[in-house]
Amino acid sequence: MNIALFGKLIQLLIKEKMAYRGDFLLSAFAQIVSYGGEYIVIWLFMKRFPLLAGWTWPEIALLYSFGLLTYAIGASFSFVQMRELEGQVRQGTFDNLLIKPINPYFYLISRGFNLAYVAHITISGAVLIWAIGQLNVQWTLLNWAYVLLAVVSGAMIQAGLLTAIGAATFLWVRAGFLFTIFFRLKEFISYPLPLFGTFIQLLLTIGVPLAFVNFYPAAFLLAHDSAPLPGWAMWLAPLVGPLVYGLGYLLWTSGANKYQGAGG
Amino acid sequence: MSEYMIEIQGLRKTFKKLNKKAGFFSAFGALFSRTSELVHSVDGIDLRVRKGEIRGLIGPNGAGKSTTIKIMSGILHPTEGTVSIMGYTPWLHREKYIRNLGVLFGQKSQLWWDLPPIDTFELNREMYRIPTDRFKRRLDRFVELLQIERVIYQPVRTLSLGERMKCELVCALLHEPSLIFLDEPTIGLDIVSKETIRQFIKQTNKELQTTFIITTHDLADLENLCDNVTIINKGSIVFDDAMGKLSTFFRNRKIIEVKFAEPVGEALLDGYDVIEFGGLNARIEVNVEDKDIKHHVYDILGRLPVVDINITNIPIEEVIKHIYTS
Repeated sequence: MNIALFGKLIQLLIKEKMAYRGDFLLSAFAQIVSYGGEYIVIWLFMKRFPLLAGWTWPEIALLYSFGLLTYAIGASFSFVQMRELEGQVRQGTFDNLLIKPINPYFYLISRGFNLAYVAHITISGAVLIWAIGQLNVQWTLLNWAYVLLAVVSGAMIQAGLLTAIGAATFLWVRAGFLFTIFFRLKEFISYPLPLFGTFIQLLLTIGVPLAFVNFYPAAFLLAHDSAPLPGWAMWLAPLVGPLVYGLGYLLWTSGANKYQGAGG
Repeated sequence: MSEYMIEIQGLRKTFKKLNKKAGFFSAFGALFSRTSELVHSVDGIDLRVRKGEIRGLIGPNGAGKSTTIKIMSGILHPTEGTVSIMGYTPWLHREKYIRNLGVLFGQKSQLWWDLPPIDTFELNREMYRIPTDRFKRRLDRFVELLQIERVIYQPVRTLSLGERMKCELVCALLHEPSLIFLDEPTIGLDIVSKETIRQFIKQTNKELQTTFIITTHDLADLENLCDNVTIINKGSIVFDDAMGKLSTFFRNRKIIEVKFAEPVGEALLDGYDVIEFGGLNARIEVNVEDKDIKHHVYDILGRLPVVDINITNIPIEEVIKHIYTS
């Protein structure tokens, strides 16, 4: 996989999408409306209870936008690709990937690169910028760098988890239920972690480290309590992404190897 | 490098197949204990193919030819055996090896459904790093040979199966591979498209000494294209020789077709292996090992009111059917 090839792929993907541009624009619009609704629900809720575990509405908006933005970036490189893997393995079209002279994982995620997430990025980006304007944060260069790294790391956590679920397809063929579990767990990170019991806190920190996507970075930026982890550990948050993504990639590769060894 | 482009020895591939029993309770039981058995899909195959050959690889469904092709393409790892193709071991050097290989699976498309084929070709140019002038020259030649000037600018979803298959063929050949696997390249096509594709394969083979391995269920593909044919059945090779040898496989048997002047009773043909009988005509298979053909013909001409007689070899379909079922 190189830049020129990726560029060519993106060019074709755009051309492909534009063959049905009405459908594309409508579904992007629908996504924006749907996520707009989610924001409004939280906003209405926060009008009645100004503080949620000590967090204000703009802070919650920042937390939620962080979660959505990183999901959009991570999922554009993983979700549909991994979900469709099941059908590809069952019907044998996965073989088409293996007869290309490039790394099958990178071809899969680039070929399936999903432009539809531009809707999620638009709305979460807009709210994020608004929230940052509302908040009383000293925006030093270090803070900006931290935000940037946290977004990259958060996207990698989401993509890494989805990739790991894709890897399960090679073992069990049917792994769709794992996506359901992933999305259920992801609902928790719309709210500050201290809102939940110790079990959920530990699960989202150690088991399925979704709390590193948005809660820990946001708690660090906004100087909130980052329990159950100590404050200094927040500096490590940007490392969790590459770690999870790397593990997801290794699992996927060994899954693909198993497929080649067993014969699907 | 050896004189063979492909050298395969003792190839085996064993799958683990879960036993599924019918019924609700046994399905429930499967949650706790599952039994499995080993299926030997490829069971000891040796194969050698020379550079520039067009080799037919045939066999009934489930005989192991797809598995063999998949192992040769680097898609599957074998359980046992060695494979050396152009000096590579496909599953170990997959990415490098694939650069020199063209693959067409007739039942799986490489083309982007909503875009014209030219876009997929352009993508392949990038993927295989084909120099632009070379790409243009080669594409022009293919377009001319396959008569697809207009076709390559129309969205794939609007193309006929024949047009699509021609474009799939271009995909597999654009990067000038020296070896090409075609898995059922003529499946479902009309006679004219089939003929164009066969001519194209022959032409490419002649011009560039490209080696082809073709799996097919269409005997016309074999007869028109292949120098040699390998027949696989139940995971093993049961015939591996020149195409011409296949038609003389049953050298000691002939088919005699006769027409009669008036209806005759079937009892008159007692002692013969009658394949078809219609009162006014009959098809008989005779063994020429013990008694020669002259003996059989004299006997029939002498006893029956024959107006026409035709002696032929056993047709290839029959030979293959015989090999498949034995």
